[in-house]
Amino acid sequence: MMRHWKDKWLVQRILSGDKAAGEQFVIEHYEAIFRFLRNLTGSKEDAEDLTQQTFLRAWEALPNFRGDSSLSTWLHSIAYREYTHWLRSRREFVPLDEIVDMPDEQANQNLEAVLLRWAIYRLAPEHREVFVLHYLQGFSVSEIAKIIGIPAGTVKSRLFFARQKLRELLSDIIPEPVKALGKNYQEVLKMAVRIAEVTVTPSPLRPGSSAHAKCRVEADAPVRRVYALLPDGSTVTFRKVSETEFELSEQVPWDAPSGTYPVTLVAETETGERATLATSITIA
Amino acid sequence: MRWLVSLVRNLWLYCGDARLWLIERIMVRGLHALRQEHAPTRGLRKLLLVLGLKRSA
Repeated sequence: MMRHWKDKWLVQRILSGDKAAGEQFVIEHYEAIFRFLRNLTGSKEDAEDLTQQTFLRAWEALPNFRGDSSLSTWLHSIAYREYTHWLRSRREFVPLDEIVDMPDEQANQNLEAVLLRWAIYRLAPEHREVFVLHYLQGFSVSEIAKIIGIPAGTVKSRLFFARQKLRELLSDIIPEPVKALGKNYQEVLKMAVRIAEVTVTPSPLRPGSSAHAKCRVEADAPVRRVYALLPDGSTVTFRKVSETEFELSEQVPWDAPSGTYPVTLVAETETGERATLATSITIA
Repeated sequence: MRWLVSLVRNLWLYCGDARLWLIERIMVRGLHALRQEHAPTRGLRKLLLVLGLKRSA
């Protein structure tokens, strides 16, 4: 309750023309509102626009702030209304999970954040809203009920289903071999397939000679195919020697001009993962 | 003491089902990282200008 009195006092200072109070109001709440809208819309640009609109509307409505909830709750309810208008206008055109932009660079460095955000965007809007408000914005069930305008019991059940659905989504994207653990799971996830080693003999290659390439692939799933993309756009497929070893024997054309040429190696697993490795071959 | 509780809990989950342990880890660490995300300052500067709270960028 004390907190609301402080908020009411801040609003009174703003209404009396105190610019410092206005600045404090915007700076204190800008990040939280942006984060809220960013996690709901999935787009940084849309979140920025909606944050601006939220504050402009709140600024106009400041004389109506009565202090029966905190400024933060009040602002979030305005932001939520802006978001629902945005959602209605977007729903006719593009599903949300298709407009989600890439996580920002900071979040990119954190695999867990990327995975969790991916899953949050795949929740139904009504589940995403309560999840974001509770777990990211830190609101209680009764505060969420005020912001969204639904009964507290509905908030609780939506939170339950949101958590359950998130766990299902995350469970689906964790590959089976991770069950084996033993090593850091981040490495396991990143190393679904990797071209570990490539050797080409002889080096340099000579026109008319027989070229022999060996490739070692490390993968968590069976490797379906390894092939090389040659500079002329053609592909040559490696022969499978073992689960990890692949080789290729080709005759270098007599008319092959000398020089160094880029070659891209591609390894594909049965589960659809793909690794590429850019290398080069030299013809003398 | 908290680390011991966490260790025992993680070990229990790990032995039971590694997936549960991973999901829990993604939830906890992912939420922590998303809570730290910052807003671009350009939007804040623009808003302060629009509201007449700052004279220039």
